[in-house]
Amino acid sequence: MAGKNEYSYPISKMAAPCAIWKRILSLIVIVVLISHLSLCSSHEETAETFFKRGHTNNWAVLVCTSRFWFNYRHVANVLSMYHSVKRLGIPDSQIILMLADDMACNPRNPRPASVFNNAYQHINVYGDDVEVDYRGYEVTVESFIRVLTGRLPPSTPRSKRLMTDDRSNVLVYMTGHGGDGFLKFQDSEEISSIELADAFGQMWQKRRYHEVLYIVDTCQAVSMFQQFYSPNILGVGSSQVGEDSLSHHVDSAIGVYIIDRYTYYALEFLEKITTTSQKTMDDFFKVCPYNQCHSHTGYRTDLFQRDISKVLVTDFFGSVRNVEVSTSRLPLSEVNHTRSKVETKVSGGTYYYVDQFPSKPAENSEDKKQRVQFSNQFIIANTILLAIAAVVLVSRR
Amino acid sequence: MGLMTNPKAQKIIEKVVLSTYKPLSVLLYIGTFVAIVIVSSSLFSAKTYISENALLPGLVEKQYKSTSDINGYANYLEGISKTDDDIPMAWLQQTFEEIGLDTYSQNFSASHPFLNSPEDVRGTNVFAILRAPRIAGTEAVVFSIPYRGKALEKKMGSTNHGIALMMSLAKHFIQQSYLSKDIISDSRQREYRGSSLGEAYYDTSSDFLAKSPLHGRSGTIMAAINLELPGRRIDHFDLRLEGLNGQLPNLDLFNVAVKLCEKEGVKATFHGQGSLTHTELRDNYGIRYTSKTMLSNMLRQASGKPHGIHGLFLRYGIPALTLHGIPSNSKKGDQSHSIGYILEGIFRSVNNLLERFHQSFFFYVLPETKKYVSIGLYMIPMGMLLVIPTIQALALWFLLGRKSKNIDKDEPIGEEPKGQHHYVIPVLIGVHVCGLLLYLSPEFFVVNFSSYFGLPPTEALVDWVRSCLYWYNLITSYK
Repeated sequence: MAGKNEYSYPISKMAAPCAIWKRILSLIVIVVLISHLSLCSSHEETAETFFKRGHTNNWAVLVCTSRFWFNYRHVANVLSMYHSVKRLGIPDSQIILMLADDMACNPRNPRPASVFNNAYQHINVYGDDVEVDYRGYEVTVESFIRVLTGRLPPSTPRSKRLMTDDRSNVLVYMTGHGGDGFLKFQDSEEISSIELADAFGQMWQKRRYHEVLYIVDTCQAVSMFQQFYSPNILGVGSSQVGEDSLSHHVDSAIGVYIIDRYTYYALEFLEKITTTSQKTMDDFFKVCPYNQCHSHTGYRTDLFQRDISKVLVTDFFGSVRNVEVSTSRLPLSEVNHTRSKVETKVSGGTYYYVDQFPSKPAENSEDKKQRVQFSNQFIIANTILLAIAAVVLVSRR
Repeated sequence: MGLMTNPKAQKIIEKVVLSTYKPLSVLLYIGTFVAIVIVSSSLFSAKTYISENALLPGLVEKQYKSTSDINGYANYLEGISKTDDDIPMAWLQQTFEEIGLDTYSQNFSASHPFLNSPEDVRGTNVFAILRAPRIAGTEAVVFSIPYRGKALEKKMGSTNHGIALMMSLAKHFIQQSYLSKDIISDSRQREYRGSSLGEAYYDTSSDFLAKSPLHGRSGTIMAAINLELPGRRIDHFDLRLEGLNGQLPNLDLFNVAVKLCEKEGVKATFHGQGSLTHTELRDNYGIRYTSKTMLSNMLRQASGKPHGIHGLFLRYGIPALTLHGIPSNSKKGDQSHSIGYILEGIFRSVNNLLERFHQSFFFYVLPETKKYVSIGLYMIPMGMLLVIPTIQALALWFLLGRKSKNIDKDEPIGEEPKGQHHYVIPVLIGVHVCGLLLYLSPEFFVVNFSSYFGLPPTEALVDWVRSCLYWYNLITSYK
């Protein structure tokens, strides 16, 4: 430690007559030393912990994929998450909000210009401070993947770009109608779980995220993140494969189901979170057990490096705010102003990025087990046809 | 030699068919009726369900409040209908305009050599359009109420209360902001005769119907509800579905109406049968009631006569049904608010739609209000019935090929039978193909060639048939 060298005074031999004073002085010196050392180490520690979390900025991509009036609850889901995320500190410039349909101005809405997420509280989640980046027919599979991977035409404005770097934590929340391995966009196309896994793979190769929390609230939600292979991704789904995610309640004044179960209970949890909250992702994954959700939530942590019981919820939902006010000085090492000429030897050959940590062995054994499978009807029809042909042939003789 | 042209195999087939075709026909005939009865029972028929997710019937709260205006309107109309047979056009137009709707009227006169009365049938229809405030009005829902004058009222029951309810509902809807479709109130005379909204809207031309043009329109019509309300209080609603030539509306519309009637506590029946009660079910699965209802339904469809003037909408691809109120014996009580809720509920469900009715069944028969039998299931007894003429024809064919009528005295095997009668199946197929070509050819000929010869279509068709007959004679006489 550099500080130690600076402050380790050599204890000089003092004159004998002030032996007691010597001892007291030395004691004082030792105390001062220790306190300085501890202060240094604490500064060092705070300096270290500042970078220990790994991320320096937070982004959120919130997607509602369904249109039509009876899918009101998906828009209410996303807007409620948007408000939670904004309240915890992520600014609009770092949120990409995609809404596939305009519920507030739908002629069927008896409360025009408002979207409610709760029948009794009547919280209007669509107000003056909602910035929708992708709206209506702009929400497509292509635009979603382009946003994630950053492959947008140069004319795209900044509000429609996900300008993350390798220190960004990204929250991706998707809701709509889904099935086993796909999610329906706009009633006309689907995004498959493999496409999504590849999109995140591209993001990792371009170092576009530090950690990702992927939340999906659809039917058979867990199938969406089962194909992921890039590191540092946490996945949460509201239902297992073969299960349906259910809506929570009806607002009889509007006449539609107004919010989904998983999102309702997740919001209940998030309402208690503040920017300084110490709740961990472990607590977040316990949200909505079977008796509340009527479906089994699932999550995936094997791609994640850290222990989820130590990951704070605000790492993904809030914005990084590390302001430590201290009145003492922070010791910094001296800067060496002389520049030494370093000869760089350029070796022939291609350059490539070093893996950030040891890569896992490829799990390709399942691919080789691919077999061509025929459906039962095909086999039955074919055997019948062959039998008839055989009978005809035999009878001809 | 192939299976079908092998004389040995043919002999066996001939023998089997000729010996069994009579009892088999009788058996299949009886079996068809048995199958119909079994299929209608609650064992085989499936429960109805709302197929279109967007409908969400009954989910939204009721907002309609029946006002005292209804009585005023109904009394006025009753007074008019006692004295006059004609529609009070001026009053209707004035009232609708006071409420705020765009009102249009249409005069028509129909004459046809087959009509009973020698003189023309004249009448006037009144259409009032409630424009939706927040949308462009590209779609519409029709509430149709037939106006019955003195004569028709005696025969078919009065509908004055329905018109009054319609006006009250219009007053309610015009204050709402959730309309995504226009509402057209259609009040027309003369029941089945004359011009209906379909003819007026789509401006069809006919040699027998003369009508004035309709100056105002809304968007495409998504659904039509025909209401026949005899008075303030009804015993129950009889839902009527059959249209012209047996055409039916989409089953979803019927299911929505049944669900909403149930929600309001108004009994809904179909051909007199509501949903089966427990006592009825215990009686042999309710076969007696379900088969009666189903047969009555099939008869009505087969007759081709519509069961209500909603049938006139079905021709134009507009799903429509009739809510016919059966008058109640008690004079006390006012059910206007319940019936108003039902109509409001149906409208709000249809309001949620973005596409036409397409999810549920178009071909079905109903044993009761809560069960349906789709075409996939009633095709089985129908198929059984169709096998009978096929095997009869086959048997006749074999009989014709024989020298003697005696079945036992067979021709010796190995000898080629005389005549060209041993290629049965290819001839059958060939005949059907010829029939198809003949069926399609007149249209083809008339469309493509009649202009070259300068003939009007009717004459061209006659010439074509004549030429076909000449060719046929030529070919057969050539041999």
